[in-house]
Amino acid sequence: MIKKYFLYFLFIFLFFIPIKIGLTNSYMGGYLNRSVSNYTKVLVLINYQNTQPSQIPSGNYLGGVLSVAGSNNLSPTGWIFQNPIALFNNGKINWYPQAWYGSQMRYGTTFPEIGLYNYPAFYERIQINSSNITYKLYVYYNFQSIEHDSPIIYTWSHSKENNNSFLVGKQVHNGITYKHLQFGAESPSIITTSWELLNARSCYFDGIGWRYDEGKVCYGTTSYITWIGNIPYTIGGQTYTGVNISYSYNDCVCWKRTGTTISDNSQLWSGNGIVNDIVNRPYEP
Amino acid sequence: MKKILVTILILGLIGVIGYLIFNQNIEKGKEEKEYSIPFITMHEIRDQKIALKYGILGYIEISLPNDSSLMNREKIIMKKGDNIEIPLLIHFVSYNPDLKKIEVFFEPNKKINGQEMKIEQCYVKKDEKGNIIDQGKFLINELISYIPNYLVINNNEILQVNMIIKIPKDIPISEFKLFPLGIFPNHEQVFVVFNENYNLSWEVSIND
Repeated sequence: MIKKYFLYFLFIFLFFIPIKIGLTNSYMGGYLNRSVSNYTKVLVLINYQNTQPSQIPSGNYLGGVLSVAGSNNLSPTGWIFQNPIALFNNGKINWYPQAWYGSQMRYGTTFPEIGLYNYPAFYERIQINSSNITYKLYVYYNFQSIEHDSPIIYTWSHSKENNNSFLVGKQVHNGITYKHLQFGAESPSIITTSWELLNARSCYFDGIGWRYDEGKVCYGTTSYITWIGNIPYTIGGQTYTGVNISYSYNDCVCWKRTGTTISDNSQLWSGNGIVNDIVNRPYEP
Repeated sequence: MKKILVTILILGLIGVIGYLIFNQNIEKGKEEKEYSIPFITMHEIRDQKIALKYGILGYIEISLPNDSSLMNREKIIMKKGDNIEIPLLIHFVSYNPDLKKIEVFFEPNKKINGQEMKIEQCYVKKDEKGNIIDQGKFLINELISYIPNYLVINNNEILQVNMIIKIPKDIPISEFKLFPLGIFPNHEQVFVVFNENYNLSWEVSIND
């Protein structure tokens, strides 16, 4: 009798056991809160402020990532373009620009050891022209390179497929709020040390200047960026719990792992306008 | 009586666990109707199960021969007008039985299948008084070529190519960052990775 019930139990257990498919990363991001529009250039500045390599466990990394949805005019194409750098526990930083169509990584490459944890600034930029998507990384490797505006510029490009622009801002589709331009921190699993990662100059080129709008928080579970048919796509997939902000002001947020999680959709900054910076190269036409 | 109690106990247990798992499954079901995009590094590309999930069909891995003079070196010192050859090993790993071999282009100065990679070093030169006398961008790609610049490589095969670095006498910069640049598999779903056991990124210093 007991054997019979045990078999029933086993059957029901196996029937209901959820199958985990794929990989999710922990992600805490921000987005520009404006009505949706399409543009051709987006940018963010990353800095691993106050973060020591020893704070990153071996086999993990702390990523600073810019993500944007591709579009044909105002229609999302299902393409997602990402310009991420990742800091490892040896203090070195790799660059992994990549393009996704839905859940498939269609283009990607690696630029190894393009910087170190203590470099003052990495500007991640993505742009589209009549034939290509181009990813740029402007690496300012010391304060003299900032003073002279003389970074190392890494570039990678691939075919633009059916995209002619990027979406910026948010819109509701089938009851889901999509945030088409995002910036944030991402790791394969949560790093519990008190790391800090700066996202500044989060902006897009509006034809006249590089513009920012109000900044708000999105989690790895609310980071809807685009859709194909009825399927929505998120960045990361899991919330980077324990991440809050160390400080923020217009166009800038410094994420910090404090142990308390900032509320989803909370305001990072309220202003909007044209970004102001001491270097020019990342903003060149 | 004992039988009834055991039956009630087991049914109760099944009910509670079933409810919990079913509830979790409903939540999971919601998640499975949406997809998350994790950014993919060399680690995930090397993991066949993860890679196939994201449409990655294989990779080209770059490493150094064991007798390489650059083993564990992070700096290379060269003179203006110098040439050096850096032997590299190219290893192809296919995740798809139908993908038995692949063409690889070694073209740092060309666009291959719409793809292009560049490194530019911005520079500023000043005189003794601190006045700027020259500034611009220097394309590092111009210094790099490969022999051969094309090969066909079978699954699991390892072949050697030589990366040639040629420093012109009038180069306007005194140091730059270098790694094997401009290597393009002729297949969109095959990616280039660098063997992390080797240092494959160098700081090149140029003496007059």
